[in-house]
Amino acid sequence: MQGKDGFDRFAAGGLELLGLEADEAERAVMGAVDAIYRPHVEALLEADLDDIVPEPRIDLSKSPEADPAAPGREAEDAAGQ
Amino acid sequence: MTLLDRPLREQAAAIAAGDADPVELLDEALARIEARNPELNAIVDTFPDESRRMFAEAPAGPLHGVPVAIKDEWPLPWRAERLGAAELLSPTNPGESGPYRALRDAGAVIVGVANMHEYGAGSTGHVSVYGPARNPWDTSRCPGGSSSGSGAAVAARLVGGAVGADGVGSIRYPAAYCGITGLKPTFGRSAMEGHHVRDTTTIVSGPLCADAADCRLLAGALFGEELSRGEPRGLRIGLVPGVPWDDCQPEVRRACEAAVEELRKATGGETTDVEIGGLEHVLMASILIGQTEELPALSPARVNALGDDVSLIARALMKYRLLVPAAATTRAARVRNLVRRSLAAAFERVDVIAWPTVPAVAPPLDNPMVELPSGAHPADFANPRFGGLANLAGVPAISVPVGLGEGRMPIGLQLHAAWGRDKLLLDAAEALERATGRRHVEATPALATT
Repeated sequence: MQGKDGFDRFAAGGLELLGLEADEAERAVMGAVDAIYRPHVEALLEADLDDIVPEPRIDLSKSPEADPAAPGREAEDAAGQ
Repeated sequence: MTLLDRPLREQAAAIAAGDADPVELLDEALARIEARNPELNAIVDTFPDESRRMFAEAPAGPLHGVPVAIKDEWPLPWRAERLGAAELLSPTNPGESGPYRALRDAGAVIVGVANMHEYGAGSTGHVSVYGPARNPWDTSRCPGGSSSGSGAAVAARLVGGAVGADGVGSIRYPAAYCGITGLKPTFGRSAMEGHHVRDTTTIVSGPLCADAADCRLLAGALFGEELSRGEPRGLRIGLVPGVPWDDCQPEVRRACEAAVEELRKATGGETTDVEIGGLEHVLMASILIGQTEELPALSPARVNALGDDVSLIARALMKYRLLVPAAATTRAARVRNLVRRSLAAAFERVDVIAWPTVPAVAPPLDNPMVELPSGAHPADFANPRFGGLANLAGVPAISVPVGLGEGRMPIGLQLHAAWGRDKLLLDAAEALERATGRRHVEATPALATT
């Protein structure tokens, strides 16, 4: 999908498919947002991420390398002193 | 200058020593909000009776009797949150949220609810059902968001500290724009119960205060633990070549580079270049993951039903979000895995990673665009490139004031540390404050001295 016309066609189809209503002003804002973010979404879709192994049971409070049974965050701070 | 102008810790110490009357301090805070807030719109609700009741029942905690503000993002027992929006996507009710309990148990007195960017969906604070909050350094400029009122209230010394929330930089942006200190804690470390995004993997509560020592005190209350002070000797500072340094306003870059050098010298440390894999995708990945967490409340029927009292940009963004391919969100999760592993490797070599909190000083409220070497961008595009990493990875990050730029507007330096090393960030921030003679943390806008 390229450019404003591409987005307009995509948005019209997508909005209809989802049953979303959008007036002219909303569509204009969506088009402006798409012009900014679409290249970054496409770059994300094209990025070579196939070798990235997902983290099982991801724990955002800890390093991905941390042993799940390792001491908690307070110990991290203590170790950092 | 009165006690209310003094740091949060000095207010607490004066009350604990019997040198200050907390009832008088509360009354002074309420009077100051009444006097200064009309220019700022930082505080959107006060409730003197509830505040006095909170004080009357306050335990002898580390913040006993000290007035603070809290972002309009959590319920209080007497007030449901509104998220700066006219309509909420799911019902809310008054109640005892985690941050409320943490403040209450520390003895603090909630004196007001702070404004925020509508739905928390912006880095500027220029959109809110209450009207925009304003930057105390220049009331025609954005205070930063989404914790806009929290930042403006502290910078204008309406309160010594405020609780904000940070999902894609929302504590650090207002800290930088308003010239104060803001800590985004390690994910899961600070009180969050009662937040409307119940299964968030990005949002944390955190403190916004004048300096790092006050952030330590308020963060301790939110963490439910005392955060002792340490000396960061031989600090290994990581610098990431590329966008985080290159695509900034020149004076932002200069001020932050000078601050890094001050920090290095003060700690007897060193700087090292580090690379973070996937950094170029952090903007989209952090936005997509953050917004995906709100999708359960975002049915087409509910979005269609939003009225004109919700901003045009919010309505359009919600509809746009529903059109983004699911494959992009799946790939955003891969980027998260990549940056977490890359950061874990980087933090084997360095203690902190530094770059500017935001690439430009606060833009005008009526046109929140920033001019960067790469061109003119909406601040909401430019800022998440700098703030999204910490939320995506779960690591703590802090914004520290390091100077004034264009229009004498504040500049913030951001430091990231490894998971759980929140105290190291506070120690490093304090070391930087000392190295710069505290001139940046003690600088206040004219509005704060009227």
